[in-house]
Amino acid sequence: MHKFAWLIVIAIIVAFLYTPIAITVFYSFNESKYMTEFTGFTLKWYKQLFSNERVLEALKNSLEVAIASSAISTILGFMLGYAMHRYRVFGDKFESLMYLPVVIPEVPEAVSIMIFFYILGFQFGWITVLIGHTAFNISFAYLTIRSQLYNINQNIEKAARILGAKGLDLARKIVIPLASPGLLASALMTFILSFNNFVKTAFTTGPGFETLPLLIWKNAVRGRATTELNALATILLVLSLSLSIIYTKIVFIEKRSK
Amino acid sequence: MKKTGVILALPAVIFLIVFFFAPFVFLIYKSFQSNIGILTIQNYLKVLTDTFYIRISLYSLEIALITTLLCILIAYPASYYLVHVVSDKYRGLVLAILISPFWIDFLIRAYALKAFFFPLGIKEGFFTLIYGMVYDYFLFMLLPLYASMTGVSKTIINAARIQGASGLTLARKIIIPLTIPGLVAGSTIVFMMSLTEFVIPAMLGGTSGYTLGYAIYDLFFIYRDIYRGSALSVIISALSLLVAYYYIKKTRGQGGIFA
Repeated sequence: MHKFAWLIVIAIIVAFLYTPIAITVFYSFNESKYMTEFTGFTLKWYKQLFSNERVLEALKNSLEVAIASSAISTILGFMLGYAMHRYRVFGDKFESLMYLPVVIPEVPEAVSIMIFFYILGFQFGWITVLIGHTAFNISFAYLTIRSQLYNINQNIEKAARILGAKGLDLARKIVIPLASPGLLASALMTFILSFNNFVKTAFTTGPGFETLPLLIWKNAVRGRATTELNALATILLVLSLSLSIIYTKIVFIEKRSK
Repeated sequence: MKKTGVILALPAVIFLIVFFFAPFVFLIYKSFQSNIGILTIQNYLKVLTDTFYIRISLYSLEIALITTLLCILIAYPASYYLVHVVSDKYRGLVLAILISPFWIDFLIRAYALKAFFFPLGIKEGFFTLIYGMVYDYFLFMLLPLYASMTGVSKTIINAARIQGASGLTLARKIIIPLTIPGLVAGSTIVFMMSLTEFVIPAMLGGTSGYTLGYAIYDLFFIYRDIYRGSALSVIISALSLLVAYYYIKKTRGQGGIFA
């Protein structure tokens, strides 16, 4: 096929992916509350969002859970990744177990942890949401960091050890700096997975604890799109896309420098 | 030495055992319990023989099948383009452009589609539901196909071209047979994920949006029947595990979805 024809094919696919996003962003600046027509440019919906207590509370909750979950899963994921990489504490069978939280559909996984919390009498709220998110984030963190550790030149670590570096020093001065692209990638990825998560949150949250995705769900499911919701979705869209650019940069630069 | 490794590994392993694996044991336990606490297989029988659930399962199967086919139709040209058409300089960029939207959560993407269809005057229903499913799962078809496509060497394609193979022959006789592992892997994962999806049907399905995933949600939150809900969840998880096992076996050594 001609190069030009290919360009059209790929343009159609890109349009398929990006037009809905562009329309959502565009209509978030619409003067009118509904989206039947574009009546003029305004930022009032954004102002309204940022003066809405419920939205701010949800934003705060989302950020807190995402930051905590990202930190916990990246640290635990790194420790596990390093243990597997250097000490080979478990075999290949274990490796495939780590894929389970990634491949099990979200609904059954969310249901199982909800029943678990319910039977054990947990108070549903931010702690149950945080645990729920971290349960799948650890796997993502581990898998991301493990592949990074794979790529580190083993000789550097060996040389440092022969020269007398031990334990914490070895980790702090050699392993962590060398693994840092993987750590950063993991932190970003787990942050966004938690920040945007809906299904797990819906099943593990309790009265009074709302996150941004929950807010969108409650207002949009079976309802209509409104300009205000568009503004909220736009904030989340832009945040995710910027993080994806940073992530791509990290992975891309890392690959080139090898 | 090994002891240090075990200590390092322990926190993550304990976390996963307690908050991922143990809950599944609880789920399985609940699925075999009746509402007065005796062990039974009634919940499974009820779910598997109820015409309501059978109908919903068939409907969900239909949706999953159509979604998978459409994803294949879009992902094939895209992956061929990525591997054999675009220059090395732009490959990373095009790949990043195709992958970036998948950083946005399902729910937000589903909402974006809602906001996209509404001004266009398209009513929510079967069409918007399928559009949403394809939109959300396209990547899971693209990545395995892309990984498989990198294994098809340019030499073979050029040889076929010189022999006078048309685009269609090339696709039918060379590309598709050589990318079967990616095709199978992508199809199984898309099929399985769309089978239990419930955010997209709920957001975009209108009156056509009642699917398997939604049925589970209702069993828990509307009917408060955790026993039958658990049974249905166990059935779906077991199915997914089988598919995932098959998938990992097929994609081992190719990077799979994490390439």
